[in-house]
Amino acid sequence: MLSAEAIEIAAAAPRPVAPARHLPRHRGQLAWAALFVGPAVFGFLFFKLVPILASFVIALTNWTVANTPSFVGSANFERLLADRLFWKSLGVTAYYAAFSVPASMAFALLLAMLLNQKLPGQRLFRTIFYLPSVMPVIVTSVLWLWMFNPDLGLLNALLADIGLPKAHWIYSEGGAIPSLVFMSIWHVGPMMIIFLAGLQGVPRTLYEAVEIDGGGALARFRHVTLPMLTPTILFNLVISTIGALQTFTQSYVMTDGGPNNASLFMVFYIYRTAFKDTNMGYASALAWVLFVIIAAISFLLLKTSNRWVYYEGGNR
Amino acid sequence: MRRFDPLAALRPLIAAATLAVATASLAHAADPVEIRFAFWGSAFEKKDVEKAIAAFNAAHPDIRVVGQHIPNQGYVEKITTQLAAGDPPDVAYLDQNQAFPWAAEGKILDLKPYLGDNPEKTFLKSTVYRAGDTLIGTGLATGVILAYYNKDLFDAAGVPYPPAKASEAWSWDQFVAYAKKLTKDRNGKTADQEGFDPNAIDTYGVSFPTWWGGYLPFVYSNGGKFASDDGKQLLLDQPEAVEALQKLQDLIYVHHVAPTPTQSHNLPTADILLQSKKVAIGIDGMWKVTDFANLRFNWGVGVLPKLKEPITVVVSVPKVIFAATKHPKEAFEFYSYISDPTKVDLFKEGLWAPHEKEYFTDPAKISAWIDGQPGVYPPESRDAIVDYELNHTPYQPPVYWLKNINRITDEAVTPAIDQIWNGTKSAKDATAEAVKNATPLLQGRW
Repeated sequence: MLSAEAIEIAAAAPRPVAPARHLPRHRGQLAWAALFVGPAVFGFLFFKLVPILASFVIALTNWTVANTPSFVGSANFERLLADRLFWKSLGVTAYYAAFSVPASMAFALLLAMLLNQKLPGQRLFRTIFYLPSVMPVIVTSVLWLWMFNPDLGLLNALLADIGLPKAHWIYSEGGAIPSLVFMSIWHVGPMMIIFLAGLQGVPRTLYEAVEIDGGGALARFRHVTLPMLTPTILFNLVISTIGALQTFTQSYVMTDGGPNNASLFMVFYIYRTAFKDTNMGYASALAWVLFVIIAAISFLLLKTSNRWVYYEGGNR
Repeated sequence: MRRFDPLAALRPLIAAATLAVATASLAHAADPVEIRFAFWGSAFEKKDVEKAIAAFNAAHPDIRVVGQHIPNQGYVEKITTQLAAGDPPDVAYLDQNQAFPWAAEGKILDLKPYLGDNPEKTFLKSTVYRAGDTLIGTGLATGVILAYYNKDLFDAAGVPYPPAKASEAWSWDQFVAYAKKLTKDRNGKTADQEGFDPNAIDTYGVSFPTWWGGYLPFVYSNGGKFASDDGKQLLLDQPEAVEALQKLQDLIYVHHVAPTPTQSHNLPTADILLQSKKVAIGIDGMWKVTDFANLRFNWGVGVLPKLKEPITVVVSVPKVIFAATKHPKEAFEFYSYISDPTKVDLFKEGLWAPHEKEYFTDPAKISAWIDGQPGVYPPESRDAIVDYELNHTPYQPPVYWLKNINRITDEAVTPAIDQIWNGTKSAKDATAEAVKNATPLLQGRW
């Protein structure tokens, strides 16, 4: 899920770099700056960096909260290699990310393009499509839980009306992840806004050039919109991949990781190990593996991006 | 612009903090002993528990109990964090998953000096928790799994009400036949009629929960077991258990009298399903009496159908005193108070059943509990709740004694049960898989 932070970064990203400002001349101003930046830096150091480092140390122990921890070396990481559920959760997470990321990006782009048209009620539609994203995931999860209910839910009522048999949605092993992918499309609001911002940055002159050359709508999309949007696409891709790999709420609220572990997302498995099984050592080891995976994927995406991302001001 | 001096801004704060610390330490000398009590529960539960805490504090000027209500979701996380920080509550509700291993690590106070060596003399055995030599304590209250029903649906279908006496419990075949008469599709055809459409069911005969409360009574009733008494072997793949689970699966896919069980948190529970006439018989815990009583429709309680013996299970949750408490005597005083039916309204309001045996045998005590608030417990409760819980609960569910039950459940049993409920595997195949996955996790009994 995209956070407000991410949107700010995105909004800032495509703009040309402003000329370097002078440092605050006044010492008092510097103190004020430190005061305002302070909480963020402090928060990062003490509530993120320290726990992250601590979790690495914990991953090397057999800490279960109640016991006196002792170092067990790489035992937690060895257990993980032989852990059926670790591999299962890795597969589930990859499966979900592989479908929800492209699906929600395509849908967000489509919406953004529709909402970029000069239509009556444009602002109203923009608001409507953004609205679901205002709700916390936990709220939409409960809402969708009702819609997915096989016996009382809206979706099966619709299927019944057109004469189709009942589907079991998140309650069947095969249906759980596809249903959650379907649900993820509901949350494309922030991505849509970023695409919309990207679309508005595409110079009109380029479209006019295509028109003069006799290109239609498809050519305009293929040769202007898409290339000009690649930086935005890269950004959305990285952020939503990270978000998808960290999916938790859906399994926590809706499926409890089931049925038959079909929605056992990695973060949910980490949570379960840490707080139901209270095995902090093993949970930390799992968390570190996920961290390394996410870092590696993000690195690969950014590293290969110069092959397909086009920056107006030349490659960076 | 004024020059910014961070220290100047902090000065009043420092002064205030110093003052606060000074006041606190001054006041401490005259303060009563403070006991922190962590508990979960709905807003309704919270209100009653807080009322009991206030009454306790008024009656005990030397003790001050501070209630800390933590919502169910997030409870374990919070208590775990408090323990990790070395600041656990004095008294707390605690899930079995934590209570047993924490007791084994010496984090939970052994209550033998307070409850004696044989608390089973006073309390129902399914509310006494022991981890090896440590007496963890009793549950906060108890409750049996039973059958709720909507009388209007029974009257309309011409089906007799589920019996309240265990000795008269329906046989499985009787139960299935009645459930079929109660199950109706949108055209008004019942499940035993020609032309019944199982894809358009409007009212189901019966619903049952997905967790062990929904299937263990039937496994036990059929002579099956969850695990061997030494805790070394999972026995769900034995013929008696398989037969019981298969019969439950058949309710959904063969007889079409039960909806697919779904993860029911956040979804309508038995009380709403019965009131809205979506389900005729709702199998659920005794603690739902309070919800049913609030809905005020025409409902009753009965015993579960039997396979061989009329059997149900007692569900409870441990209530512990942490070993770190500085005031064990005062903590125990409150520990007893908060499960006393004469002090806490939740018993007569239909959420909790007592855990002292005398409340199930002494007519005056039974009446104080069951008749304490007219209109809550239906008249048949003396049979369907009191007698049923006292005399028809021979086995303790595995959460009371099986080591590593949390991982056995999450990694082996629940996935298999999911497949049975989803109809993707027969009870035989699913339980065989469960036994295979559980074998490396079995570590004996507490």
